[in-house]
Amino acid sequence: MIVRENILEVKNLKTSFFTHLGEVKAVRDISFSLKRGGILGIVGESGSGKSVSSLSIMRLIESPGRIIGGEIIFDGVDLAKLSENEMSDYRGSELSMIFQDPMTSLNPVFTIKNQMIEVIRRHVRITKEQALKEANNIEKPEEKEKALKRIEKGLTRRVNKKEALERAISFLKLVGIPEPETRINEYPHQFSGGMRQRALIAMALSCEPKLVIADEPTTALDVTIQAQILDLLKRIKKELDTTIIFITHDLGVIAEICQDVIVMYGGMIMEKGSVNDIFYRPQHPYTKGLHQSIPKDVVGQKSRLVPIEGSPPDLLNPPKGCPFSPRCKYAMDICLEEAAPLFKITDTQTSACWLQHVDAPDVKGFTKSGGVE
Amino acid sequence: MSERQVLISVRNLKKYFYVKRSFFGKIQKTLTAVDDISFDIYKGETFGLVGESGCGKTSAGRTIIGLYDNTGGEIFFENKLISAGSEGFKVKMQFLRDQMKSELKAVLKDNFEEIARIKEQYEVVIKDEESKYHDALKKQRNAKRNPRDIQMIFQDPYTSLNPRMTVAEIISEGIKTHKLLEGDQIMERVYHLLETVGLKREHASRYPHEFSGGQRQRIGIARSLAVDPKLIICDEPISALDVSIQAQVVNMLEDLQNEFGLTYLFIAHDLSMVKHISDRIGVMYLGKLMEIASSDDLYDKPLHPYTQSLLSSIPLPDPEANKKSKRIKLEGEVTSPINPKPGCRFATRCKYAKDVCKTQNAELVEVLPNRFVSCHFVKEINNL
Repeated sequence: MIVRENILEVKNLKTSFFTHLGEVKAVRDISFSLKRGGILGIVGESGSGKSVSSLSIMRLIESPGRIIGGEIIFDGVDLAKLSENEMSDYRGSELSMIFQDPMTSLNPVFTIKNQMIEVIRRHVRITKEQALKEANNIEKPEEKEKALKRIEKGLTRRVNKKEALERAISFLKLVGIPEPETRINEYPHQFSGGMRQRALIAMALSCEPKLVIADEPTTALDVTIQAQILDLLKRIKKELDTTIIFITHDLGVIAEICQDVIVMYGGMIMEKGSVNDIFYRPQHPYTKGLHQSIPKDVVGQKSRLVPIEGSPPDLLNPPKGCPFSPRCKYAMDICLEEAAPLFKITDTQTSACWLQHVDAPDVKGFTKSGGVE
Repeated sequence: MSERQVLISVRNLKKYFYVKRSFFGKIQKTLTAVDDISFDIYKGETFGLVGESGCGKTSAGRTIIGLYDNTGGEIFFENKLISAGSEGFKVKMQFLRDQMKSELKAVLKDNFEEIARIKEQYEVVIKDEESKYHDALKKQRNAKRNPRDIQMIFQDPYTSLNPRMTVAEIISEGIKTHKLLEGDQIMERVYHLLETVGLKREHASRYPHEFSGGQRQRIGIARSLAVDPKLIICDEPISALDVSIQAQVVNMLEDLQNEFGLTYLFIAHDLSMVKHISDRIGVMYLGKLMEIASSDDLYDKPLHPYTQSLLSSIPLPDPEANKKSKRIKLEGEVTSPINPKPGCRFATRCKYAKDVCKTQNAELVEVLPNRFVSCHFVKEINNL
């Protein structure tokens, strides 16, 4: 098998919701690629399209929403073209998702055990060695031969209930739930908020997916619990070699956990770069604005916050040009007419602002770009 | 700070919720949302109240404004008593009587000496509570609150505005109730308030659903300003808003404070924003105040072990600083506030905890000038 460097490549993804008021363009033509084994952060405000793009990758967009264009290439396969049946083989086993609110994403009428075993038995098959061992124990020669043939084809049986339970317990242990053997029999409401999020993470990891999408997994939690969950995700990334997409609106969390960052606004990518690019050398006016609107006071002196004036765009009638142009203090004529492409600043950083164009006027703090990505 | 005038003084405030009563009204479970907290807020300052969810910060705010009945303790506004609680004493009396009954049951029926001893022993305590209860009742009757003085801004701008009222009706409701203005003056005042909070005159006739979250929060602020309050309780006013809108609202709150000389009680869990806006901060944990200090002191050198780990768990918007900073990790989670055990509330998660902490409650003590900490070992931990 070929190991590709990029586990995920999203090309020109467009997702819209067709409501009775008209088409809501939630994701408008985004492209990015994700390296194996990294943590990618997607940051944006509500309505920026960060959650919809992750749901599109999982193919979880429900009516009236639809992916209307683009490719989602996961490990060489275009997920956008798969049928619903084929997709459900991928979902949970190859890529899985952790949601914001652990109370609503766990089923309240089933025990944790029930819910975990369901996922595991759907996706996990026993290993080849184990299957061979079992086949060797078969007494009838013709049956043994049949079994060996099936193993050669790579078809091993699914795990049984007992094996699934063992696996579930081992993953609960991994995410740090005390006494997993007894607690697994409990219902979600018997768990505390942080504990539920841990259980959800265990469930998402239980089939050892290659890619985990975490959609604001710590937003509903307290800071001390958030710190525990962030540590857990970092540890898991190392131990299981999982790739993580981390969606949040909190710049602090991004700085803490991510290597690469995508900044989204109004359904489009505003800026992409490594975490150091985004935090120390932001190039897009929106990213700069975000940095100025969070307090960074030094002890003894108070600086006034610089807010971004105006409010986020209405996605029913998005601005014609750059989605940020109505709030941007540098907006030029072209910004109102046409959205900027992603200009390449360095090898790692790209920014979608016309100020990066070679012919743009010189403004302090903005680097001119050599070309379009 | 002695020359500064105290605007509101909260003394031993308690707010209990009796979550489970038996058929005959006997209390079986008590949720101690706020348990004996005291603090002062000076005129013109912003006092931040922070803590994790369930620590009682919102209950404290709501009890101060009178949305919840006060279980125990007193609140003085400009040196006048505005709220006193008595129910706590009543419940304690009932509790003592129940305890006496159960002790009496354990004694043999003909052991008169023992019965008399127990009865006598309890009667003294119950009488004491009873006199306290009557004192508190008397105080409660005398306590007078002027609802105009304290106003509140709520967390969720979507549920705190009546969807059936126009913006003008929402803002002018308080003016009409208190009969502050009449006739055309009311609308003039509404227009003026709308402009003060950065909205337009023509917004007055619209309904709340026509506005974005940030704009709704502005309407809520205009409503609270309408009756010229002296103290505004801001209960997580920005946590439902987007980052870029948060800064707009925070700046506006600061401007209004300068313009009208307002005092804020700012309740929030976003620690970096609280630090930015507050002059002094109180840190709560499970209904108790752990530490009170000026915001610079608190963030520069937190003294209480809980504050230390709370502050160190905030992820900074600075990747390099995050790598350098040492996290003081807290194991476990917040314990339940229902029927809490005696002793320091934080003892179960505190790495410095010793036997004393599990049995004896730590009082809030001024360990350094203007720094109050409730910890038995604060001096040892911080080498003071």
